Amino acid sequence: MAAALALVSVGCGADSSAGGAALGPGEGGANGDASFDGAGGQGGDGAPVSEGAGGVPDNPVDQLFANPQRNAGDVLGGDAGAAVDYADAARACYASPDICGNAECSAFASCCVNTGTCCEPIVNDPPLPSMLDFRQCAGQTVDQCAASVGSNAVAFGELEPVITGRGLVPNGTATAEGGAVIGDLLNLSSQRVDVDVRFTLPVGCNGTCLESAGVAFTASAPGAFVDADVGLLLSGSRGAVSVMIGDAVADSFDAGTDSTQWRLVVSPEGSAQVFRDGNSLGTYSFDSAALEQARFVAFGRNLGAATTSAAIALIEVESSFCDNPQSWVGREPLSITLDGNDVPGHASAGGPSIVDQGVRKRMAYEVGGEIFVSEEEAPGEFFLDDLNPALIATESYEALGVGDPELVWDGGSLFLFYTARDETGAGSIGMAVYAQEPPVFVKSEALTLASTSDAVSYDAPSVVYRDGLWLLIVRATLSGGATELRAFYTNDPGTRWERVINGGLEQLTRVEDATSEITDPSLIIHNSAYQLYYARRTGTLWSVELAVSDELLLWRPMGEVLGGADEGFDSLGARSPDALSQSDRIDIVYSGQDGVSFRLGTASRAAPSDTAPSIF
Amino acid sequence: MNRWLAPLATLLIGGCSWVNAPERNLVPPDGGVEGGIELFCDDGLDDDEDLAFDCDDTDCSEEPACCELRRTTLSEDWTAPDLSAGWTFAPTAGGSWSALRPSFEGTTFIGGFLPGDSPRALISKDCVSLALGGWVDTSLRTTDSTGCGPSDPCDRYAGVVLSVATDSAPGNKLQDELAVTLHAGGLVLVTQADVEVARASVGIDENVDVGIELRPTLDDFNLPILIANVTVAGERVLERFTVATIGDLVGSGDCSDVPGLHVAAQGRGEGVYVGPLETAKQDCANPSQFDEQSATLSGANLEFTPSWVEAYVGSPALASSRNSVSDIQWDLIVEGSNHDPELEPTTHIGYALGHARVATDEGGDWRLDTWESSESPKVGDDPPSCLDGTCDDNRSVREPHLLAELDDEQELRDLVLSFARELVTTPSERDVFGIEIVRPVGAPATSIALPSTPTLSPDEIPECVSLRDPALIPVDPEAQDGYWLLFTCIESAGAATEIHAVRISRALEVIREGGGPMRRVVLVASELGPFAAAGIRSPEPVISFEEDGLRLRIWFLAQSTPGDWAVALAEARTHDTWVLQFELPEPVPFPVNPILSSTSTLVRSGCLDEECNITGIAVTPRADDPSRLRFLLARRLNLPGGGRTDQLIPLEQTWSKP
Repeated sequence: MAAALALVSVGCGADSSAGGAALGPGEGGANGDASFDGAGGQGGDGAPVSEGAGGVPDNPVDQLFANPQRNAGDVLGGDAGAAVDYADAARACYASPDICGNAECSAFASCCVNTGTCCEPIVNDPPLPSMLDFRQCAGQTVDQCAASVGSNAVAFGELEPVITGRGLVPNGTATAEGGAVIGDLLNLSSQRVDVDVRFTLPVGCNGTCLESAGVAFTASAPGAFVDADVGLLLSGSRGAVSVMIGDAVADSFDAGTDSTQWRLVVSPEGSAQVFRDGNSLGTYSFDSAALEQARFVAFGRNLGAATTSAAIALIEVESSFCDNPQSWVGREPLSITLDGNDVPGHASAGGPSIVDQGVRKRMAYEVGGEIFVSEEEAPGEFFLDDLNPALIATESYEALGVGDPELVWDGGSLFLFYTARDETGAGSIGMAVYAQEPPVFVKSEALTLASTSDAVSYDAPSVVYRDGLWLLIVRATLSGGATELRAFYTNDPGTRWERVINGGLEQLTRVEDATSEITDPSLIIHNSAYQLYYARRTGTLWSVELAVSDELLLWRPMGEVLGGADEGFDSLGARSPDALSQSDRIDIVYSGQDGVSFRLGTASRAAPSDTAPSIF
Repeated sequence: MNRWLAPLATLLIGGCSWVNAPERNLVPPDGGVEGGIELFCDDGLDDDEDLAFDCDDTDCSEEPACCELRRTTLSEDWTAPDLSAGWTFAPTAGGSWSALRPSFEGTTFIGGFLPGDSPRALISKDCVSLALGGWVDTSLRTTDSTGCGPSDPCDRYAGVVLSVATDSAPGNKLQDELAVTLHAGGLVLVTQADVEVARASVGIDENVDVGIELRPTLDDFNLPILIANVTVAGERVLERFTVATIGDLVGSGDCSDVPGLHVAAQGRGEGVYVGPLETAKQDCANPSQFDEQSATLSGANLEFTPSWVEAYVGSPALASSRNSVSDIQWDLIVEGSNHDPELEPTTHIGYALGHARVATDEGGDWRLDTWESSESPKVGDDPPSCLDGTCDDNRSVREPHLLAELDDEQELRDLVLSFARELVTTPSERDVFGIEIVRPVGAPATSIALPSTPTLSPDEIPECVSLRDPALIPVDPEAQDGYWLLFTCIESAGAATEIHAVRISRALEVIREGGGPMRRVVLVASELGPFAAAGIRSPEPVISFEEDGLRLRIWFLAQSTPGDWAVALAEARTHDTWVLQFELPEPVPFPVNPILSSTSTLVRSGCLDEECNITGIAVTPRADDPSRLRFLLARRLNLPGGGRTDQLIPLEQTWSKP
């Protein structure tokens, strides 16, 4: 695999004004040429680099992969044209979630995000029974039938549903539907559910008979009617199975026979795929965000005898967690206390950064040009040991203070990267190392990044450490006033940092208009892909956006993933994200906007971390 | 969508067929035909080549982009003894404060935002509606430039702010969607999010007039946005600046009907002041503003027999005319069923049409109890629907539309009814509809028998498997040359996304061209914006022929997500009324759609579990005042204890040009 990447890195032979030699383990990085101009072009439109090799031959890609053991280039071949092939393949896969979710794009771990792929099956205590063959429960009640397979069900309707040899007869009437709520609540904004269902068609149903049976996910408890937010409904009089979206018919297909197998696959990104006997019939959009508390219902209406009614013969269900970057839960303001009392002004601090040291989690933030470091005592609850800052301005180039803290744990030491602002407001990036408890950090003598003629200011650092490699994303302010995010790497954070060149990050994030802004990047590695969160201001409103990548060069923009919640401390927007990769989820701290002030808050979302397809 | 008149232009120029019609969005609005209309009033182009651009063209005078008629919404001269009744003193945290109110040249200003340790603001408690356009005017004055340069920001300042916020945090400025701030040294900064977007310099100790003009428009993604022009001391310093998307404006309280912002006088320290503050909204036609009328109707009020309307009444058609004794006659036709429409996904439901008529005094409103009714269906079966197989041969008739053809005295010359009729031959084959047009309609009790074939069959429209929601537009004031028949094109089992039109002769026959019906695509959901992302249906046109041209407005239902139906509006105008025989001018969506959403007070009032749906809308000019439009909004709502009911809510709007 590495050999193939070496071919990709070296064999394409494109010139690079910034060197780009691969770094061996333990080697120091070559001197970065901060004057190198990035890919250029108009930023902020969310488009990845439009053509060419996308920087693949210009950087040590074999080191830059989010998971060096998983090199997407191996799948794509290692001939002389592989760099362009690789870039073209990435662009093709990143064109839409549908394409990214296809098997041919499985080489890219970044395609695991928001495509309904790379999901982790819920094996322990699944919300829905893996199989419920109602025909085997003839004569039982629906709850008895569900209990026989370790699940539960609650009947609804004017008449109790009945179970016969034909299956579950919902027993609804012309004025009210009948059926059963099966299993537990699901969060369809983060869970994928594959439902296989087999209907029993009614016998002797004329053009206006009322025989129907269906399965659906609904956001509301069934009353007289079931709101089928997404589901399948067999209509005996029409001889059709309809795809129900938003309680309306989105499409209809011939019902087939009793042996026809229907499959409904609902994915967190809001797509519902329908199959009949294994053949895809179509994909439909539904509002997955409205189904965070979804119920699975079997429902329908029957006026005929149970021996001839429409029925649900069998359902088989597989549910799994997926990575939907918009599916945040537990959005709550966080607290920072000292001796049990809230510390005035600290909950509205800026630039939070959270780190997991294994035995403890710490969060750094900036108040009044000084950096404080707190410790988590419970989710969303942080405390200070004292009111002394962990880092203060001491140098001439820190005249306006220090801020934008970024905590990094390399397994042995705790590092603090930060922005130092001089008397003009221009920023440079500094680094300090944990020295003592309560947290106090000692600054490195040399700046990590200083301004140049090209970039008059650097600020808002985000740093990732992985297997001896340090990665840094910062915002650069160009001499003309535009800003963009830039990526750097090194094997030794105390020496010089090499810039990732000719990639798509600069183009993706460049802002040249005073009415908008991109800042506060937060880079993590999760499920073998880079996830780069950043804040975008449009007018007065802030939101957090996400771009994902396998190698820091070609980016798949995901758009807004965290915005205004309509109510609460983050009713209008969110900024200053700092994400933390956990084994089965991603945690985030951020600053919520309510129109009056900004306040720190936390949220998390389910995100499996070991499901990117193996390429071996 | 710039497709207006393009097919005619191609016909005139090269005799091209419809198939060769220019692509949407690429053709100038009038296709180069002289004497057209200034279709787009803020595109910087002289669309009709009459040497008058955009708002300089009288075509645009009533449009939100150009309207200059003002209605004052807030007027504050700072002389009231207690300002706290109308203003919030922000920040509300951190202790109370008050402001000085000096007089300069006989005018009271407010300032002295003290103590100067924090920005302070007086924020209007009322939200000011601005989404349909408006103005904010004030004067600023600095009297002491000590320590502040003429081109530098200073820690003493005062200005006017437009904000979604109702408070600020101590030490922080108010969130500014747009702010114009005079600094003590004479620098005027226009900011958004406290980021400078424009600046000007003014003198010390002189009144500086500040004007903010706000207009709605659509951005590149067809999202409605509010843009601003800012004038300082008579000089335009900022043009067409995006303030916010309409969806991000305040939509509650005083702004529940028309979204807006709070206005504030904000400052810090002494020596800089804000003068009288006045806001106004546009006083041109406001399609979102409805006047509610009395006498909400139901199937029972109209005295229809329950056998065919007991479960549902909706999709109204309304016509207004004068009768022989010069009373105002209202003709109302509705669809109804004895079974709930919600059963549609389960089985076939049948519908029929009923007719009711009432006369009122000039300018009067109808009553609930004086309707002359067809009682049983005027068209269709009674009952129209059976679930036991006993009426499998019944065929639905649905979605009526009435066109009242009036003489010069506004008396009824002809009433033309169009509706969708089900065209199937076997019980198992359902949901295929064609269009029937009938004239005359007769009195309510007069039944209408259906001919064997419809006026327009889906067999003639290859793109559509079924034709629904018909509506007629006369091509001349007398309809002597016939009509355009609008209809919803059903392309598949899902929601419809296109409204088409077919030309119909006076003899109610389809006019043909190129081997098929003369047909145009009128509205396409994907081109309208997010409010129509999940489909459109049910066009309701009103056309007015005037001395200088014609004006066509089409109300229609649009859904942003499945089931979330709202009322939207599109409009077209042209000087060339003769063109209508050949082409329909392209309707352009109103900048702030939908004009009536399912979450509006009108729709939600009295709802149980917030489960109310818009099921139809009818529009017609009043015969006694054609500038006044009467609407009939059909909504369906849950009843306590289960079940649903339907209401037909009368509404009116005044348009200065009908």
